[in-house]
Amino acid sequence: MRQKYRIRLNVTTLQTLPQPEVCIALLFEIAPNQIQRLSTQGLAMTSSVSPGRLYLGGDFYTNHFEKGSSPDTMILNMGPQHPATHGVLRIIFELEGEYILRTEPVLGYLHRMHEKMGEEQTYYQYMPNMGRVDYLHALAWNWAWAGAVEKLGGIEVPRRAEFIRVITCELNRISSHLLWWGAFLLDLGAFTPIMYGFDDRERILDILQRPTGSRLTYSYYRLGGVAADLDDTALDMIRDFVPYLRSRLPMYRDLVTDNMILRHRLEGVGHISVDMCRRYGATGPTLRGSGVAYDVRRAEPYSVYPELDFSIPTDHECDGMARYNVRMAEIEQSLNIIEQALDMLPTGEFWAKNAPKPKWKAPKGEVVFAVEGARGKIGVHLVSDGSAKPYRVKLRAPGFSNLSLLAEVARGTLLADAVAILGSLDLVIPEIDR
Amino acid sequence: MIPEMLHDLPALRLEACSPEVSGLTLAAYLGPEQLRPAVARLLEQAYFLEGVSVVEVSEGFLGVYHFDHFDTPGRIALRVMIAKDAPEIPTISDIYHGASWHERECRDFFGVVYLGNENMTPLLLAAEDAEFHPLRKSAKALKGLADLIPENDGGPQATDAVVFQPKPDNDPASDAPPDAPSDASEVSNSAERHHAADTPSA
Repeated sequence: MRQKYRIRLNVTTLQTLPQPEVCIALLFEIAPNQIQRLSTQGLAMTSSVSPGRLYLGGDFYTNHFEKGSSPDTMILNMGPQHPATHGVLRIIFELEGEYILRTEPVLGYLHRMHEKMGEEQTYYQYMPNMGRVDYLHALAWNWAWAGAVEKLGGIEVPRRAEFIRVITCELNRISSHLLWWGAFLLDLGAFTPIMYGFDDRERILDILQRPTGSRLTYSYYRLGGVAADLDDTALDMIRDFVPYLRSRLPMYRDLVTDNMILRHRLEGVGHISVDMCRRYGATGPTLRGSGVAYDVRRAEPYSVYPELDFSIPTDHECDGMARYNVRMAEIEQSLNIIEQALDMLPTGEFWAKNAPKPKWKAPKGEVVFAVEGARGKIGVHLVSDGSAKPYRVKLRAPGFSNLSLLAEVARGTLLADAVAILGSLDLVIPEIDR
Repeated sequence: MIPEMLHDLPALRLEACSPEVSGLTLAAYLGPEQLRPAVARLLEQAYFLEGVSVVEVSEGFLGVYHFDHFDTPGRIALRVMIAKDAPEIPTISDIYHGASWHERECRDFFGVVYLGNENMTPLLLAAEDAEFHPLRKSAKALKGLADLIPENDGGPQATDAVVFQPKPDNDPASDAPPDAPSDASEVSNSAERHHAADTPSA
């Protein structure tokens, strides 16, 4: 008895409780009179931050979260090493039975302080960081950084480079959505789809490997262009890939999208209103799943997107299924964009001849530049003091804002639904922690 | 061009910007007590929160709030200067709930305190590093606001830069330019007023 139930010595807090024996007895399924004996020996205690709750240790965040909790509820830590948290996100829940009363994500397990690194490196040296902020849509971050610096310095980008950027960024967006698709369904208990998703994603990685030289953390864009041209082999691979993926999409729909189990798990789950998106700054498919056709490629047109014909898929249901549908439709739109860009791809240089030198000094000033990433609006706020290094770099990660609404949207739902909601937000933790 | 619906935004100065140059359509310079009324006004006009950040300059901490609009895109920057020896700024997390995490991040990085935010626990940095603020600059590395943001596009003009310098009497409304909205002075300066309900938004 002594060994098994030894928790921590603190008699005073225990004695202030109305019925501490009952709490402990419920937890350990032992008779209250035995607890009485335990407590008089000083072998059990309750939480000092939340009177009435049995003290079971926990770190700073658990203890902070416990403040204000009710003794009848359960505190559950999910993560940071949990497969459904897609990386190292940790979420603390207060549960009443299977229902969520309160929840609070705990961040920082993948924090690398990219914003500080930005102040310590030159404009070119910072580009590899951009491949590591959001490794699933690395090229969008490449673009956000390159675009911000180009805007600040008034750097011209050759037309061919713009189209190469569109093609590679959209391919990367598809690969990101395919991974989300597989991993999301894995969260919901479907094992097979991720195999199909990874198979198709692998082809994109093969294509992007040719010009970028890497398979995940791309650092491909340069100030005033891209690092390497798309050669004929790469262009042929892309031309073959577009109809191939199109032919696979009906199978995706038959296999998963119309699946009744999936629909039961997602329809009506995780209702996010437009007002909530506004208050939390949610963008991307999360916002478009609430029926707002807001896409940075249209709202703040950059590069050659105004010349391309594509639509912005939306869904008015505001639930998990709506966000699923939006992403699946976006894959088709990205394929359309790639096809048009391939047809329009001009000849010429892929990196401006007069592009800045490595030790280039940016002019003084402030600039904000945004692109549409797979998860939403990626923003770079750059302040320059005229030296070779940025004065301040602020990275606006869409996942950060999208995740911040979880506490509100998960309130009152089932724990199992929280996993579905998390997956439907398409989180990439390194982007949130930066 | 200043959007029609924001002409009466409570601010010390409104500066129209060209999005092609800086990515902003409007930069608003605010006294700390104007922040909450201005933000409440933006929510009323259906702006969404893009981000909250801080830039450390030699004059103090520059709080930067970016907002954008789903239907009529055009980024708006609110800028608030706070003194370095008392880095306190009213929270907007009860108006725009998503601001809470951004404010906690700014507290981690700069040590700026957001008065009225109920949960100011460390967000990205470890709890034991709560007193360590990695983005603070040494005195040598600091630059003045006028050195960073050029005059011609949303930056503080040389004469106006003084508007932002925190005064010892803590009453920025007194040095507002004559064309600034008069309701700035109506807003109480007390940091205790943190209810969305009492923001007099025109």
